Amino acid sequence: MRKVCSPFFRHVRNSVRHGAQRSYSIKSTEPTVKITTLPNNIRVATEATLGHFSSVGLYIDGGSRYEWSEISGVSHFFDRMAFKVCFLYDELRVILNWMYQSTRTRTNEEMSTALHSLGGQIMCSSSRESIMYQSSHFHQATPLALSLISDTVLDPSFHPEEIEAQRDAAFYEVREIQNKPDMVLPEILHYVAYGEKGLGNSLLCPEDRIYHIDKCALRKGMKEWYRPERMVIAGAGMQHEELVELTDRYFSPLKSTGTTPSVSSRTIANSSIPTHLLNTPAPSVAKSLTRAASYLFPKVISSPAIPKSPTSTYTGGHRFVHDPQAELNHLYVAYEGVGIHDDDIYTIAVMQVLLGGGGSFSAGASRQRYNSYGSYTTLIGGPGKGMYSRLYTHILNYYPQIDHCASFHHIYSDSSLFGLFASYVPAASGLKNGNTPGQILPHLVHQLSLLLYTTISPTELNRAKNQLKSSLMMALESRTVAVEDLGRQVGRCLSHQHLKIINGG
Amino acid sequence: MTQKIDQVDSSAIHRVAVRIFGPESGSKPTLVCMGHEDAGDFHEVFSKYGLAAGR
Repeated sequence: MRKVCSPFFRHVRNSVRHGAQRSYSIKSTEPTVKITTLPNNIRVATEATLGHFSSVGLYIDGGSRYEWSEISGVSHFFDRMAFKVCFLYDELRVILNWMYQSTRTRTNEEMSTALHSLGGQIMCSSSRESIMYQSSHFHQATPLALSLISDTVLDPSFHPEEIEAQRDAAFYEVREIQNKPDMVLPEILHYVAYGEKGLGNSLLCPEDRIYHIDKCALRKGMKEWYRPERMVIAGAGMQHEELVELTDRYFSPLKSTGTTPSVSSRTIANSSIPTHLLNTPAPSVAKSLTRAASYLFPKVISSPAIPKSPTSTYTGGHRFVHDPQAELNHLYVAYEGVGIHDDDIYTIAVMQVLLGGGGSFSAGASRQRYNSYGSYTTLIGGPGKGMYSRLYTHILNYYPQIDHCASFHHIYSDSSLFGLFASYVPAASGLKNGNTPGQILPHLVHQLSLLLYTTISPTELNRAKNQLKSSLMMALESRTVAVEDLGRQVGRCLSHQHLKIINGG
Repeated sequence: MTQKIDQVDSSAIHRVAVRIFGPESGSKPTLVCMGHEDAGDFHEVFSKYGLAAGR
């Protein structure tokens, strides 16, 4: 058995301990993480936390990044089909029927009943580098949650009518998003930055691919990604032994393919997991002598297999999307940053907070600027916060034509995209009042050059560092985020709360 | 993690800025423009402000 203290929690704990002036009589309750690797190489990680709810999730190294032409768009379908209702329409878009995704063991009615009896939340979501199936529920529902996840992942029936219904939904969704520049532009930015492949693949199924997604394509994607060595089951709010046993019960049909990709030395060297692995004495009371017990106390500790990450395909580039009718115009500037394992990621994260930014609107004559609520690129939520960040004090407060200006940082296992964007009111025909892209660009570029050629005042730097730290802490208040973080850290040693926060998610 | 954030100082910011978009870094920018018109010769602007222009 292995015991590992999540690096994040370790640091939080240390900093809390050292930072506290008062002395507490309560012993520090160290959140411990236990990891067990089952014979088929699936990894099970739990974190001991108290509370009324349990969270459990399955994290898979898959997603749009790993799609090749034949299966392009399948991640989007996995995401939208699992645990969700799909509607069947007639030609006039009147709903004929609705159903949940069925599996070989559960019809869609049974799936619907099971999902309702779970009494919690269960969802699937795919991103560029991972696909996750996650559930939050009362303690006693953990076996049901895991059974539903296992069913959906290992035995989906992919009935033609389910796929057909999902195609309609995907088509509608893709059309909707195309009208939302704040959602479509980051996709275009990735597409251009990563040379139209790998991380440049769209999160959504490309429109011309929607009608090519069929059972065969979905099965191909699953065959490639849904392998035990690419999977981690993470949980909080249950005994480690219990989750190992349940995983064994529901996921043992999954056989390791034996073609475990070799672990790249870079991943090992920079990985935060192995250095924290500690052997722990076996618990004095083993609850039951099940088959799982032999995995819990293995004689030989094998190192978890981490599938090798493809290398970044960053190329940079330029794209102009002509939209003569747009109310607002947009300009995005980005450079390639570093991967999640590189220590400079923290510095870039601080830089991003330092630049900050957000939205603006004029409130009457005072022309005050407010931070827009929950904007996905802004790190700081709530009105008024982050107004001392540079993009506010240097850009938004000076140029009324700029409606929104913020920094962003999308982090991946071996690369990141760091940059700035501005949305502005375009020039009326023939008029040039500082609102052409050629006039907006220098403002953004100037902010980057200030980081290169000037020194940052300690006050400003400390403010940014404190903001970053508090955002990270606040994210981990959520059990779901903590479990997701655990699953992804064990999976690819990614620190997801880091990623999520820095993305402003 | 918080320790690593605490360690970030102004020289680290400068070093990393030079690494990812400094004029000698060899980095290439990505520029996406949407709307009425394009940004024109953006390489020129990047060079003028002392950033990696990627050409």
